[in-house]
Amino acid sequence: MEMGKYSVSMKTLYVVVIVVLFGAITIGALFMVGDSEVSRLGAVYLERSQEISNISNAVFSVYGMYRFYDTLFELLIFSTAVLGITIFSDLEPSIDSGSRKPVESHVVSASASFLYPIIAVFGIYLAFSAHLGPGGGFAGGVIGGTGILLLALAKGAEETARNFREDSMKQLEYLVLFLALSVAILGALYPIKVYRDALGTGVITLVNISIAMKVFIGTWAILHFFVKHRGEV
Amino acid sequence: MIALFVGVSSYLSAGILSLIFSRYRFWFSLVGWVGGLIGTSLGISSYLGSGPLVGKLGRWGILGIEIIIDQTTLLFAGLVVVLNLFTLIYLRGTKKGVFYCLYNFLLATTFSIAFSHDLFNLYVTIEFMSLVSILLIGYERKAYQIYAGAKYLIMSSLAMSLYLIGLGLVYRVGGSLGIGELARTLDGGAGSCISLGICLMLTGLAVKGGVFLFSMWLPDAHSYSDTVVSALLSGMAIKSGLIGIIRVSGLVDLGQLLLILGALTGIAGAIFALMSNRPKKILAHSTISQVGYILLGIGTGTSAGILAASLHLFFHGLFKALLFLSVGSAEVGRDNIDRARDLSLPWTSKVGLFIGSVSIMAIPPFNKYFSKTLLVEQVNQEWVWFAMLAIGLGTALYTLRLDWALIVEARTDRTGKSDLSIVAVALAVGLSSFLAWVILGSAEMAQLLNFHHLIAYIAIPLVGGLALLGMRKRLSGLSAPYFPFSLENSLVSLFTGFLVIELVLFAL
Amino acid sequence: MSTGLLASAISVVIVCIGVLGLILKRNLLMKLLSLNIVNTATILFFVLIVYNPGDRAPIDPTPGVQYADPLPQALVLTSIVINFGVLALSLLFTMVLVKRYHTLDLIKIEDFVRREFEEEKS
Repeated sequence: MEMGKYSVSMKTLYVVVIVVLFGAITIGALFMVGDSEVSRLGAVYLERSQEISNISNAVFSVYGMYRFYDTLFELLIFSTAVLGITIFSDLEPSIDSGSRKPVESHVVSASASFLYPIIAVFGIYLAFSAHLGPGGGFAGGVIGGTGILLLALAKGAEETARNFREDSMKQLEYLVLFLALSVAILGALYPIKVYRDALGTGVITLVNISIAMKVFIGTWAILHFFVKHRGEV
Repeated sequence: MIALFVGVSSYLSAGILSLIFSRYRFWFSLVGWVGGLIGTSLGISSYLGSGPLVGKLGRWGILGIEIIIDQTTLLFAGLVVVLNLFTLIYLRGTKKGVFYCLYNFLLATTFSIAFSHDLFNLYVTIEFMSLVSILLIGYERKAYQIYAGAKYLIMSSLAMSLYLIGLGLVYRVGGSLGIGELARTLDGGAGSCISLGICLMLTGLAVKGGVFLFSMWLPDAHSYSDTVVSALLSGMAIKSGLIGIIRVSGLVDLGQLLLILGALTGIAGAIFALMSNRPKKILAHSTISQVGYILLGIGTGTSAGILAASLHLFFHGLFKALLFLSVGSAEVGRDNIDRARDLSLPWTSKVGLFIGSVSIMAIPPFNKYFSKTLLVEQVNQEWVWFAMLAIGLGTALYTLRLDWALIVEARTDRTGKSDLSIVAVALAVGLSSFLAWVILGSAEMAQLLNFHHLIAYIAIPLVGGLALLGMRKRLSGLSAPYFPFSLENSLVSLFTGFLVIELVLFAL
Repeated sequence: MSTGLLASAISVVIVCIGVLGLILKRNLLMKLLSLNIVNTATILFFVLIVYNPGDRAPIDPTPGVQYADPLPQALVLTSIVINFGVLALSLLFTMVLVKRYHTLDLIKIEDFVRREFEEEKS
């Protein structure tokens, strides 16, 4: 079909029509929701979040306690992504990564070594205080991992990887899965004991810190892989 | 609850341990299998003791994740355990530790899906299942495997996004995530907003479940991957989407829609299977065709219909795994069956193919006969009956074509290695009819084995065989068109399928 | 129609834009970018659909104050991580394909792949 200067094939037209119809139907559903508020499960979560007194972040109480079984699978998905990257880690880089020069800028390298401790402390803080305010193991781990990316870009990826002994740290990652598995099961069976009586906030902090550790290692493994295999800029 | 924990934790531990201590990977996997078996038996004993059960995971009261133990759960968990045993004795430690890790993760998540009765838990476990599957598909790192994996990944990620949109709508209006809880809130009177949300979720699940128009990634992914992976994906992994459909279908009346989708899926899959000429492609298309029966069973809406669907899901897992393993162990999966005279198969593969084919054609007294007759008894619309006849005829045609090529025309390889594990699997599949007897009881079985059904099910393969004699010349040299299965067109057909769902739901 | 619903309608529009890119772009990398747009917009939708103006963050809740629903926020955390995993793996697979065929054009890749499958003896 001709439309002025541009020609639009029938297939493109068809695609546009069905996608627009899909959008229209979904938005139409939103109009049909109505303003009536039903009592949702979230309200119950808010009500009950005082049940275990040392957790004040209601979002954390959902993903860290009541639905920790889902979070276990979330951790497993993350590990699987890292595992996938590890399987393909012997893929040849497009150009020799040893000869690749890091960014030659004194400003970058100086500010990276200055900024990295701050970033790391911020990540650790988020992991420690997840049950009290916004934050969490995942956020902390990702912040730490991307902080290392900053170092890697400033000082060269290979040197940074040597400093962090990536391979031996990967073994640690799987221990976290066992910890999460046992917390998921024990926490579901004996919630009050695990989350309040036995170690108090200890279990929560331990889980958060180890998740942060695991996500940190995983994020760095993934980022390192992509840094190593990046094409010529 | 304990049943779920025992199964999932033993499979997960087996996976992690066989990655770290890869020398003992086989033994860890065996322990994982024992754990799965114990979990399933605990579930069965709980079901026998107190009947179907909808409960909460953990002692959180209303706030926990909802789980269910019913016939569907137990049949699916049993399927996981049985297929685990089949593939474990077929593998016998031939792959690396990483493969065993992914393999056990796949088993863990499908085992968990069997018990899941919570919309978000279904989302997470199905997403994990698909991530593990794509790594297994691309495990041998051939370029076509990687491509099939990438296609599956893109489609499934989009599908789960649609699922999440639907979940948002349902949560906004229904106010909870547990399916039992939602059913109580809605109380049958679901508004159009809820049914739209359910439609979006159904679209997402259909992409995972091998429904025609939605999962056009399936033939590539299932035929390009490794033998064991194909067997597990076709037999078990796609069933998790169907389990999701079974769970969701209780919320809104989807009967007519599922019947139409089932008939479409069954007939289209059979046509494509008949046009393909490579054994693995035929089997992959045949998986789509068999999914049609399961959808028809869910669509009848009665509890016996759901039972027929679950039984079919179980039996299809068994015989499809057997067929994939026998084709794979003879290494003829990618050969052209029009030139079958050049091929040679060990006798074990031929035995496996024979048992698998008589099962898939529903010849009495093999296992599929019982699930299919149970389904026929539940159907009360005439057109569905004819659609089932058409699917059955199509199944007989492509199965007999495959059999003629691989059992009759191909030579029997007397010198090569013969894998006795195939015979063991074939024996188990042959004996699985007894399970139907255990579940249905003697009275029901006697009803299913009546004269009309027996005649019909023996007649269909005979008619198919006669038709094949006439069609064989025309079929050879034919190859199924690829364009519906390219990534672009499969995405287009996904959205077309969504519109079809909407149209059917609002027209009826 | 409340503010939250209106905002989530806009996120549905973003989903549609992403889907159009996903289907119509021939470049595999562009497809992945569009997929990521779809996923992110979905997360936005899921958070916004229960949003009410004036909600406070659900931290240290006291009765009588209007708080945001904590459940979708917790669920969205999970799906963000899932999308991260999907993105990492799909980029990995794209990289392998590009190393093999030296092109990002999907139609060419599909052609190569099919030919390779049919020609290679099993």
